[in-house]
Amino acid sequence: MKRIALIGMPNTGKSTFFNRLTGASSRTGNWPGVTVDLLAAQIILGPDMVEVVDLPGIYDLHGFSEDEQVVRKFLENNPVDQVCLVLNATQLDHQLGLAVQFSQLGCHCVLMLNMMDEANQLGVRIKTEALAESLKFPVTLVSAKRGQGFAQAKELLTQSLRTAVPCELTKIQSKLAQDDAVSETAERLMSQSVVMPVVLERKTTERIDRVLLHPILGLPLFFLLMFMIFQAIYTLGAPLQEGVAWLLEEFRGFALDPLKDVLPTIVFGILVEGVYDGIATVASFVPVIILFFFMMALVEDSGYLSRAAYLTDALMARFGLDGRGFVMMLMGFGCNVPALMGTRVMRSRPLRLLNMLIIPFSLCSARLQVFLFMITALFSAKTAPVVLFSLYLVSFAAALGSALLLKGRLRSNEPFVLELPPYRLPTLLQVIMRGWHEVKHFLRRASTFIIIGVVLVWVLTHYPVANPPGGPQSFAGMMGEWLSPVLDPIGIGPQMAVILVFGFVAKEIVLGSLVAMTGLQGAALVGYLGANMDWVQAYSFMLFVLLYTPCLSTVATLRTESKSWGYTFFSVGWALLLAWVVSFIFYQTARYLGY
Amino acid sequence: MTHKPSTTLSSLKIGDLAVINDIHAEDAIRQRMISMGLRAGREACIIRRGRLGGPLHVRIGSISLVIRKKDADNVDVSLMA
Repeated sequence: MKRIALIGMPNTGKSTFFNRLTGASSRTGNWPGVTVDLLAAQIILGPDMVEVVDLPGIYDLHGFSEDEQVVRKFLENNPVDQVCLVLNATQLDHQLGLAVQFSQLGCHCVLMLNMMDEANQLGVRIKTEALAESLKFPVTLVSAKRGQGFAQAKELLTQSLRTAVPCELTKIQSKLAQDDAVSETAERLMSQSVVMPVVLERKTTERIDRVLLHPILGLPLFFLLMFMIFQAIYTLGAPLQEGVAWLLEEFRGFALDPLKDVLPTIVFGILVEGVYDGIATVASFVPVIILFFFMMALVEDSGYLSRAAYLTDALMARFGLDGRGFVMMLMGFGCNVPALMGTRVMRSRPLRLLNMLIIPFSLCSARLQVFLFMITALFSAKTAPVVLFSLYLVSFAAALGSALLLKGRLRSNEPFVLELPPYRLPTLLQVIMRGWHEVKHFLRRASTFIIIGVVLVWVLTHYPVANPPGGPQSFAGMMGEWLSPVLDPIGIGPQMAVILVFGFVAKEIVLGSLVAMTGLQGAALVGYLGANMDWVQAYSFMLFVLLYTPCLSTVATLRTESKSWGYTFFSVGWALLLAWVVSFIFYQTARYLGY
Repeated sequence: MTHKPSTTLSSLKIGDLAVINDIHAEDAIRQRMISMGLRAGREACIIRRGRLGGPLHVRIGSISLVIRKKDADNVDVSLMA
C-alpha cells in the first residue's frame, strides 16, 4: 500500500484538510522510529488503497522541538511514496521556506496552498504554474474548510501518486541547505510568483482584537467569556442529560426488566444491574460532554485560544510557565491526554515537564460527570453552580501551586513567541467532526474498561456476602476496612474506598461503580448518596477525586511523553499526596468549625 | 529611507516600524525565533504591548506574533524613519 505523509506548519488548516480527505475513518497508530501516536487513515485514491498519515505541524525541517524531531524521524524510518505539503496561502511570505526545503530533499511532493478563499478576499495573487516550475512539483490552490478546489486537489494527488516511488530519506538535516540560502530562494520565489497587498488588511480581526486584547478589559472579558460558556453548558446540558437518562431507563423497563424472571439472578445482576445500569448512568452524561467539546472546538478553531495565551502570559511567567501552559490547562478541561501531547510544541524539556506535571490537575470532562452527579445529589439547585465553580478554582490553584513549588527545579530559557491567527468562524462540519471523535472515544472506553471495571466492582461488592452490597462482609468492604486508616481522616467511608481504587483506572468508572454497588440508579441513587453522606464528606470526596491521578491513560501518556518512569511515579505520587492533604485540611477544618 | 542606529524590538513604541537586523541568542533559540518569522530583513510593526510585563504584539508581513519582552530584548532592530 502506498503511503502519503501530510506535512505543514501550525495554523495552516492541515487537520481540516486531513479530515476532508479521509472522512471520519482515521485512527491513531504506532510508527517505527517515533515514540508518539500519529493519526492515520486508509482511503481509496484512484485505483489504489493508500494510507494517509497526519504528521505534527512544524515550522521547518531543521528545528529541534519534539514535533520537528518526530517529523524527521518519521520520514527517516518510514518509506513515504508521496509528501503532501499544506501551506497557508495567505502567509506564503513566511511559509515558502518549508516548500523549498522539501524541494531540496528531492522527494515526491505536491503542494496544497490552503485557505484560497481567504487569500482571494485579501487580494493575494499566486501564480501556481511559476511556483510549480521552480519547486519542481505540482502546486494547487484549495480551501479545505469550504471545499473550493478540493476535487482538483484530490485529482492532483491521485495523478502524482501514480508515478510516485517510495523515497527513503536518511540524515535529512545534512541534506538541507543553510537556512540563509533557503530563505533567499524562498524570497526569490515569492517575488516571482506571489503578489501580496502592501498592507494585508484584516480589519475584522483588528477590530475584535482592540476589544478582546484591551490592556485593561482583556483579561476580565476572557474570564467572563469562559464563565458564560460554562454556564451555557450547564443550562443546556442538564435537560439533555435528564432526557437521555429517562430514555435509557424506559428502555430498561420495557426490554430488560422482563428478563429478571428468565435469567439466573447472578447473570441478571451482573448484566443489567451492573453493566447496563452502570453504562446508562455514564452514557446519560454523553450529551453534556458532546456539548462541552462543541464549545471547546468553537473556541479553539476561532483563534481565541492564542489570545488567551497572550493575555495570561504575564501571570503564568510568575509560575515559571508561559501563556501556552494556560491554554493547555484549558484543553485539559476536555481531556488531559491530548493536552499532555500538546506540550510537544515546547522545545525545552524542563518547561515541558513542568507543564505535564500540572495538566493532570485540570478538571477533565470525565471528572465533570462525577461532580455534576454528586453536586445534584447533595447541594441545592442554587448552590450547585457555585460548588462546581469552586472545584474549577481548586483545579487552577492546585496546578499553579504545584508549578510555584517546582519551578525552581524545572527552569527553562524557552522563548515565548506565538502566532495570533486571524479570527475564523469554524464551519458546522468542523465542530461536528470534533463531537463525533469524542463520542467514538467514549464508546471505546465504555466498551473496554468501564464494562470490566463495573463488573469487577459488582463482584467485589456482592461477594462473598452482600449484606448490604459493599457492606463489611464483602470483598469491597474488607478493602475499605483495610484502607480506613487513610480514608477516615478525610471523611471517606469504607464503601467509597473501592470506588476510589477503581476510579484510578478511569473516572468514568466512578459513577458506574456506584450504580453497580448500590443496585440503584437515577433518583434512587441520588437519594442514597444524600442519606449516606453529608455535604462535607461529599465535597472532601470530590476534592480527592479532582486531584488524585485522573486515569490510567493519563499515566500512560505521562510515561510515553516524558520517557521517564521516575518522573511518572513522582507525578502520580505528588497528585495522591496533594489530594489527600487538601481533602484532609478541608474535612478537618469543616468538622472543627462544626459543619 | 534612512536607518537610525540599532535598538531592540522591546524598546519600540506602539506604531513604530523597524527592520529586524539580528537575534542575539543561543543557536537553538535563535533558530526557533527565525523559523517563527523573526527573520533578518523583515519589517516589524508594534501593534500593542501587554500590561504588567505582558508580551508585545508585533506584525511581521502577513503574520501577527506575540513575543515576551524578555525575548524581544534579544531582537536587534533599526527604526525606520
